[in-house]
Amino acid sequence: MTCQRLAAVGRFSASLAHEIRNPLATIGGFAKQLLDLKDPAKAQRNLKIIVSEIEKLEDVLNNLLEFSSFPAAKKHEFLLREFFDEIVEVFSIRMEKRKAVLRVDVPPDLVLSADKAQMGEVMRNLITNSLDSLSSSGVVTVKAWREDADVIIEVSDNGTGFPPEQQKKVFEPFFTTKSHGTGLGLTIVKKLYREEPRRQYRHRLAHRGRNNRETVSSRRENA
Amino acid sequence: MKKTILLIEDEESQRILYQEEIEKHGYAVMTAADGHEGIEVIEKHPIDLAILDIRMPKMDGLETLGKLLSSRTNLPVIIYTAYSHYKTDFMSWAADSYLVKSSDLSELTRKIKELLGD
Repeated sequence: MTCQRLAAVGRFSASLAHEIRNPLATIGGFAKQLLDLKDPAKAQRNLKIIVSEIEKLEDVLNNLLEFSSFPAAKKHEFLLREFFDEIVEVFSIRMEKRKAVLRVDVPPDLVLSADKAQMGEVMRNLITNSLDSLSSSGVVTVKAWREDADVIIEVSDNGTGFPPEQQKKVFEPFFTTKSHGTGLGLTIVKKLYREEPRRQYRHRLAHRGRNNRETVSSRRENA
Repeated sequence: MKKTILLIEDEESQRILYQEEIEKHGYAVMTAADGHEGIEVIEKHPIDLAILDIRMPKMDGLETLGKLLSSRTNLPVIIYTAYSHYKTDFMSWAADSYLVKSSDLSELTRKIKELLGD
């Protein structure tokens, strides 16, 4: 067991170093170019790339913090549609950069009782995974609806999906199929959903060429 | 005629950065976003040196390195990665140089010139 833990720590350290070094080297490189740039359009481009790389570093940090400590959920009721309007705003630059579309199909009066920050973290990870799986011009769709006492939220995409041999591993910490990423996203999603006995996390992963769906459901407290 | 460098790197922002820096030193740069693309380029164009990332989708850098060298045995290759630990992987020893990515690109351009005898 000690050997397995040490191996996991080793994988984690290497992955973390990679995830920090890559954006840092990019930020530093483009910032140094800025010192001598006379062309305002190119300077603007450099600044956009720097901002985007800083966001990647923030994502790494958020994942680490979420993974290492899960504060007790602070629930309150909120309108899901307004919540997803904020999410769309957060993802707008990334979507534009990737020429992808984030579609939201959520009734305006659908109310969810949950910890908004934790739900935000879950959605950020699922939508990021979907976005990363897309080739150009892909679509990520978020749907939500009520099913008896449950609120179902489904994130789907028309990206590459997971091959069958990888499907068992997707929740393991530090497992990733991407060329970047800490491999903690789905681990965090599952862990956040396990914290709450009345919540369920169901996942359906499909082969390349089929729609990929991630589904979470939240039961209202007063149900 | 300018010498041509093939840059195989999956991160678009890094491709832009390295391409611009290398071009400043008088080289032509062709880019590929993954190992498969890189191999296609090397089969169709006269490349003088290749720069290779390790962690890439579809085919990782070490597998790509093997395929590049089997089609062009004497091609100088620089592995340019954010990982330091692959340096101990014997597969990486087939490259002429192993550099860890940094915001200081002078080490990369210095190594390119050294390997190309410029």
